Amino acid sequence: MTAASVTTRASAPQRWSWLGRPRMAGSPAVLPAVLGLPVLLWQAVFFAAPLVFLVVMTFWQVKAFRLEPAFVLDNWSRILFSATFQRALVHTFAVAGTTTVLAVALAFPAAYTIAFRLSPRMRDLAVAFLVVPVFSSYMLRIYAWQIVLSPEGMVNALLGGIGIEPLPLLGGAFSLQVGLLTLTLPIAVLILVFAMAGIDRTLIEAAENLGCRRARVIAHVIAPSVRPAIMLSATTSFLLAFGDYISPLFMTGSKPPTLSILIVDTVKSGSQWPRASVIGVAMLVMLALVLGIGQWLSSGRTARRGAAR
Amino acid sequence: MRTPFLTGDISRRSFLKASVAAGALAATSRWSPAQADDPKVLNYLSWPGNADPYLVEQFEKENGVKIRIKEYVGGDQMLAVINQSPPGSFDVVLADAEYMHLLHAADFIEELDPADYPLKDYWPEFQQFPLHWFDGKLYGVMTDFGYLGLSYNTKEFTPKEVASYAALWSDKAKGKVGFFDWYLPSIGSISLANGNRPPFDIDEAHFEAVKQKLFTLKPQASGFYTIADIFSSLTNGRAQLVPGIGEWITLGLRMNGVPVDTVIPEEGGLQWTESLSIVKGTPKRDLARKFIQYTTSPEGQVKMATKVDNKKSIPSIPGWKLLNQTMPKEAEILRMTLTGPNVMDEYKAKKIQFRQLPKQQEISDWNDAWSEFKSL
Amino acid sequence: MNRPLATRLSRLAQYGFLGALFLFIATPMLVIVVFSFDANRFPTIPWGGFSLEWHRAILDDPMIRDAFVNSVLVGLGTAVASTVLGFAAAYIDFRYRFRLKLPFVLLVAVPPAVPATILGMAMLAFLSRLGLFGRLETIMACHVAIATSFSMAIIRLRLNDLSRDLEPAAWNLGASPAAALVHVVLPFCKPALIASFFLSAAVSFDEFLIAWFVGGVHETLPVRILNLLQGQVNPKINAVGTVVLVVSVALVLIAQRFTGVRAGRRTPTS
Repeated sequence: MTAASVTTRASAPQRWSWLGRPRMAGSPAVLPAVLGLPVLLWQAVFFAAPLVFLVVMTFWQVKAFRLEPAFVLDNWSRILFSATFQRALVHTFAVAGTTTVLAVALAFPAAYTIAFRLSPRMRDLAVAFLVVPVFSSYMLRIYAWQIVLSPEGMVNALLGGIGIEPLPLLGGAFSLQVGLLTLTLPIAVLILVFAMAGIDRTLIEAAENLGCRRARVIAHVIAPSVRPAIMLSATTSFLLAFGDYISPLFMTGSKPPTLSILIVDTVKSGSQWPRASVIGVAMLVMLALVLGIGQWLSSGRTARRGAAR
Repeated sequence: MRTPFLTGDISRRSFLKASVAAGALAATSRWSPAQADDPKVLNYLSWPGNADPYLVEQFEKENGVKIRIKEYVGGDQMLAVINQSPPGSFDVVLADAEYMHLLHAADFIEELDPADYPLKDYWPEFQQFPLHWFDGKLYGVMTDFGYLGLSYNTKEFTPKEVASYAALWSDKAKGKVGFFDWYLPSIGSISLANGNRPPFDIDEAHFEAVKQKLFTLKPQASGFYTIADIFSSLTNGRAQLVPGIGEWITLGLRMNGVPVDTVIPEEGGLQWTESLSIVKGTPKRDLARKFIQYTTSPEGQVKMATKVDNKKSIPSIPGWKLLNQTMPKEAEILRMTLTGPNVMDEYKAKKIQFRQLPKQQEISDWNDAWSEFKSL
Repeated sequence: MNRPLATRLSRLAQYGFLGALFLFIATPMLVIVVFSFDANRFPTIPWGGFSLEWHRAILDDPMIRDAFVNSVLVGLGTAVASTVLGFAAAYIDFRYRFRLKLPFVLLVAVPPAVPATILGMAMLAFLSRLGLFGRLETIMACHVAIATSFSMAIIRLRLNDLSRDLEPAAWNLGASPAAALVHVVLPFCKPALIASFFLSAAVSFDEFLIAWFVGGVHETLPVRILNLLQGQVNPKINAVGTVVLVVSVALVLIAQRFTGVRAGRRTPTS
């Protein structure tokens, strides 16, 4: 997510290497080992190992509704070749793609206003306002949207007040996107705000002094320098929307089901955890691919831009 | 602005100490594994709401114990939990009849002694309820039941319009048919609509026909809802017709002023039952047995029938009698009066079929058909 | 200051757009709070009048109380452990260079990116085989595996501002690397450590899928809400939701107070 990418991005080339420093030669590896091993162990046991086990489980069997170790490929073929899975895959990609485009398109102007049009104090307030929802009960916020959007909900009550027929807001692509944007938009805006706030103002002023109109400044100065951040907020939005379970469930009544919904549905075939795991592993592979492409796009373009100068 | 914690003379060892600070918290009493061995705690795996103080307070007081519930929504969650927990984690499980079948097949529940339970007090139809017996041995005791038919919005549809499942395909219902997101009652209703009796014991050709019939419902579908969403979508009008649910949902809503009702269409309805079983490996067999006895006693049964928001029918005749004595009005609303029409009528009129697992196909065949329908 | 009309209109549009976006983000949170005081049993329009009935009801509900206590315990444990681990990871990333550093950093950074449905299922399947199913400690351990990513990120950002010469100076004065770490680096990171403490508590306080999978009979507050939400419409949801929301918002705001992460730097010298 954000945290992940901020960190890797922030890891500038290290000048200090413990290998070559004489003062630490007595026990060069003790401190890093003491610091690093607990982290390594913890993440290995509670994160990496479960995921590896998930892959192993895709080859297991269910007998008498209990899991049994085995090595069968049947789970894979049964899931990958089923029309249901393929349709859900296409649908999930379409939904997550739409969310990504919407999130970035809405986040960019908002981030621009926050970064360049608000006073520093207001800017901090805006950032605080955006950080809060990232960490506070997404599930409840979706539940609240149901109250707002339902046929007899708040919006329709307001519309009814001015004599407009109730709109079927809940239970379709619109409400699904409302839900997913609730999840992704604050993060997408935050990433872009941080990137834009980091732009050297003198560059913008220089461009303006040269008579550039605002639109040209945005297109030629701001957009290129935040391109990695745009890619980051796009991939983050995609990732969140792709794996989300709550919005498809509560906002559309899982019609049609996304891959996350399909995971839960598949278990219902009599404790079919192995087949559900196949979908899970397939989703992870696709996410890794998308992230890889995103990384490649942002780094590739930056390099080309650098070369062109 | 320096605090001792951060600036004191901290050695490597105390760094490690800090990293087990969480472990220090673990010393407090609550940080113990599931209180599986505590003889004063009955671990209960059940649908939500079944450890409501209204239901269990009396039992807890009488026996000086505490009931700890793990709530599940849907039998598959229940199976997952029981599959993954060490033996002895749970003492009693409340399950729908078809999941009791799975629990038995996977060897998770114990054989019960029929003499321990007041089965003789039940309506004759339920004294030896076939889905709770395997090879002549009892594995679960029925606690409550209900019917599944066609629930509808009474402002939008008349009883006459919904007298048959055909209403689901009507123009009026386009985009307004809500489904309970579980293949069994939903496909079961369609199987009934296709004239299959019993609806779950059908050959391949008939199953294929049911599938095709189901798929034609796609344009009618509003969504596939969890139980909570069934409540809210009936309330807010997203769903105006829902097959495969019953009065256990609509009665509670109606009492809250929502215009909904349930009919058993002419093609028939389904019956669900919940039962209590003792989980294999429990160290508290006696307490578990007492809990089942309490729940099937007249007092326990009356509480089961009258708990908030979830209206169920009970199988115990003394339970009915007590209900009629103490809460005659409730008895009438719940259609459990001993004189005049009551919920046993449909049963006696043979309009009701058991909801059960598919007999001739795999569970996954039915579930996959349901997933396919959802994804169309 | 006389700006051209077009500029003023454009400004107006920008502020208007931003306001609309903020309204969109704020609406669901406001709705939860407002409806928790609604006397109606099912949240519908019109509002049924002011009532504290549901707030009182959650105080009387032992399961909600238990879940709240569990959430606090798990949240505290997660906060402590992930701040410690996050600091270790961030410092290693900051100070050392080794061949497998990228995988190491990724191992800490990636967990929040894995959909919780998948991760919860995997954790349940694996950890139950280690006999770790159904304990509060297991929920905590799994939350730590996720929250450490955020802790590392916050602390790593702070370390960016630590002069690279400070520690070598301490070493030259005879301090051991560990002593320099404790006397120089830790105090410098204090605001970030506090921020990470509260933020990881917030992450844990908000997580429900993993807690549902691995918790067994032990429910945290969000798991209780999930069960309330899926079981049947329960008027207590909004009241519990308000509690959860207030706690998360408080945690995040405290965290933010200490991050020192501002949108842009105000000191031109940096």
